[in-house]
Amino acid sequence: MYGLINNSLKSMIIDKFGEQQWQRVLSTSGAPEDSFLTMRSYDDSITYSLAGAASEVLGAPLEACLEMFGEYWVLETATKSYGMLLNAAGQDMIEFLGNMNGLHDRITNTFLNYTPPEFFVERKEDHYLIHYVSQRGGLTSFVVGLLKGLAKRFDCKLTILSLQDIAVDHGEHTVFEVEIVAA
Amino acid sequence: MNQPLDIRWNDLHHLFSIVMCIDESMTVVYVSKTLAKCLPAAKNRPRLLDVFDNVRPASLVTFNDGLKALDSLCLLTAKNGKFAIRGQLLRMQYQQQDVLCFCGAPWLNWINTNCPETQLGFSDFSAQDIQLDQLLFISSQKRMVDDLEQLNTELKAAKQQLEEAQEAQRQFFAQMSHEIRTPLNGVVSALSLLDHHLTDPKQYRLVRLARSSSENLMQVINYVLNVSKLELSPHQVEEVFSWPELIRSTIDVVAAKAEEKSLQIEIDLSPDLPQVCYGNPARLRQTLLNLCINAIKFTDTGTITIRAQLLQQRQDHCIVRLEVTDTGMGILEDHLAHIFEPFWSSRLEGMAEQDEGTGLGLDIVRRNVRSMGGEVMVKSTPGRGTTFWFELSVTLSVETAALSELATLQQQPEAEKLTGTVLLVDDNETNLALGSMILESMGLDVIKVDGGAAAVATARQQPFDLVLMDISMPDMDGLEATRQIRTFASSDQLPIVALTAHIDSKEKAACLKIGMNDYLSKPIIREQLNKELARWLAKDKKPLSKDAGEGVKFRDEVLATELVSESVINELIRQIGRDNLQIVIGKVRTEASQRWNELLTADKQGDKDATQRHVHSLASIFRSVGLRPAGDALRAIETTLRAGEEVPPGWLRSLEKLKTDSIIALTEKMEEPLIPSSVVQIDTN
Repeated sequence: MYGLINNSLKSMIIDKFGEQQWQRVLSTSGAPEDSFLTMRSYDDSITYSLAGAASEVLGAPLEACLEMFGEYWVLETATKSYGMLLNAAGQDMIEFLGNMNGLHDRITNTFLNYTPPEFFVERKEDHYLIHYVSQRGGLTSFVVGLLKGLAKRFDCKLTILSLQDIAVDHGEHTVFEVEIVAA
Repeated sequence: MNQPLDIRWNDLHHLFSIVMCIDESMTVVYVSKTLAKCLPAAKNRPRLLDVFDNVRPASLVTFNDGLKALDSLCLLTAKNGKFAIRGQLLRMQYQQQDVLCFCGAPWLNWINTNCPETQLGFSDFSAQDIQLDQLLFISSQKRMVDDLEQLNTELKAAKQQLEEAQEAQRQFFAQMSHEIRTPLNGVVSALSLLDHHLTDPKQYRLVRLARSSSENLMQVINYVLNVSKLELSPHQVEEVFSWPELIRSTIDVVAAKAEEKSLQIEIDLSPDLPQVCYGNPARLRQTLLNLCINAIKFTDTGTITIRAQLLQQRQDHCIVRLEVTDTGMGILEDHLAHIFEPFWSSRLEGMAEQDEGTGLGLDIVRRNVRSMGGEVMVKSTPGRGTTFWFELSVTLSVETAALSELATLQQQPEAEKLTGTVLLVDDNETNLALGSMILESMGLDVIKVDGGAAAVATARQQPFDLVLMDISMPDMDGLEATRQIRTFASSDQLPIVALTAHIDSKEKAACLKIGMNDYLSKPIIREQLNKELARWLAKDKKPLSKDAGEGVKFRDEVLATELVSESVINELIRQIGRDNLQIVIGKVRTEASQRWNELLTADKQGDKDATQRHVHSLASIFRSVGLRPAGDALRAIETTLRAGEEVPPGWLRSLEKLKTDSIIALTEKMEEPLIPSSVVQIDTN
């Protein structure tokens, strides 16, 4: 993963729990570095160990930590650093979901050697099916947080009706059945 | 050239979000959805230049201008300042007429800069357009710069913290050095005084153990402070130093210990060694001192040789090899790999426990030598002795050339007899008597005065070739006297050389600053004095006796373990004769008794300045005639007094016995038959 992700995780823990807790997370994770550069690629294991250590230090399930991180990612990291791009990606939740994959296409072009996930949105009669396909595993909860963060960004009500894992050879494919209601 | 393209209309809209057709009259006849949304005025068939300003190409007034720019980037900004487009012109057919077809996208960079409120979405850019990627890239780069700036700030703060911590540590060590060494010096001095007065063997053993333990503790503390000092400031300020003086001052420290073990100390300086160099004399002295202490510790009989050889000399620097060789027990081969490790100490058979040491000296040696850019080496033969050596590159001092010439003169086989009149200044009668006898024996005329004020008056009244000036004198000290003399006689007209019992770097600097030409340490060593005099006095060419004209290679004294240094007595007899020495010793007895009474009075009256002055004077008297233990004990007290520290209780009582014993021993020594001089000269030729 790029340093952008690790830095965001660090910022979230410092913002929400303080510097001391971050130092404990860092120490527990055994990560070899305490600073990350946005555009530098780091081994995925560092990100996983930081997330695991956060769960241990904060005494919360890993899923809850990842979900919190997903929300933080949308509302803080992406909004502060990539506000203009987020604006371009959509003025409402539906438009944004429609451009999610296009956004990740752009990311692929910028962050070389990074394999971002793919998103496909199917519009059903009264709900949506969001397909999340990733070469990595274990980040479904992070996507849940992303969706919740987007709902807050666009001031709408999001209900996840179901999550369905589709068997794949590598990584994960999850289908989120969501209901979106404008506030 | 410029033939219409055969391209499908729908394909264009897939590839480009902005499509705009302009007919031959330069009227906009078609706009795509994004352009219509962002610039509604364009929908109303305006003339191109009524809604847009052309940035590139520079001219786009006619249809022909457009045809000429088909291969160029086309940048257009809306007249209303709210939108801009970037793309390329194509020649096409639209509704059966020739048109210029603009194919491109919103000009994102311009819009973000000039009208960021303009809302654009992903659908306003085709998938292949890289402008959104650039936006992502630019945002990420900005974050990257922020990361680096943040790191830089953190590093700066960490560096500052580290420097502050280092400074605090430096100050702490300086304070520690003072706080720890002061009381410990008191302990060592007190034990040293007590040592001489114990008759009960058990008490003597216990005090000796306490003394060696306190000395070991002092070594450990010095080690810790030295290592810390080296680590905190690996590069000390360099200064000019003289090799002979450096080595002699090192020997001075260990001479008493060597004397205790009846060891010879031999100095061997190669004749071509530059007299004066530029380097770190304090670190060099500490290094040689540690090697000498070790050599003496592990040698029971024979000689310790300190050798300095010039290996190579260039224009501005030279390479010098320094060696300390002993004839001691040697080091086992499998121990050689460990001897530089801190706290490593090999207990050797027959070695007293108190002589074991701390195992830290060689570690300091290695650290010191490395800090000066060298590496210390060792070779040893068990049972025959050990040699430690290192080679250093040192900078040549500007004085070296001049002194080299002098050294060359000194090495001439025919020595030169000195002539001239010397003004000898000292408040101490013994020193005046002794000094004048030595100077007269060299063929010089001597005028003696007993204080600074008298020196100034005498120097004003009559011409002298040289002044030998004591520093510590009660009425007017040597520095003030020199300052006054310099008001009427320059250093060229009248050289003044300090002659003082103890001289440290601060005092040396003070001497030179006030206008003295040089300095010499007491007790007077004839060879040193002779060299110094040769620098300043006119010479005739009459040869001196062979022993007085030695080169730079000589052996030092054989040192005995007595209250009276036999070697000093023999040397004095050699210099001034037995009869004259008897006269001097008579003066010593009288003056010591008088000074002692004055000391008791000053102590009783709590007059610290006078106490210190009388202690200094007594130390000087005793050391002049080889009463080293008494002189050293007095000097230790003087050092304590000078530092403003408390002297051990009962010090006067302890000293009185030592003083009385020493004078009795001196008197007895003079009644013994003459013992041949233990100063061995080596013929340099």
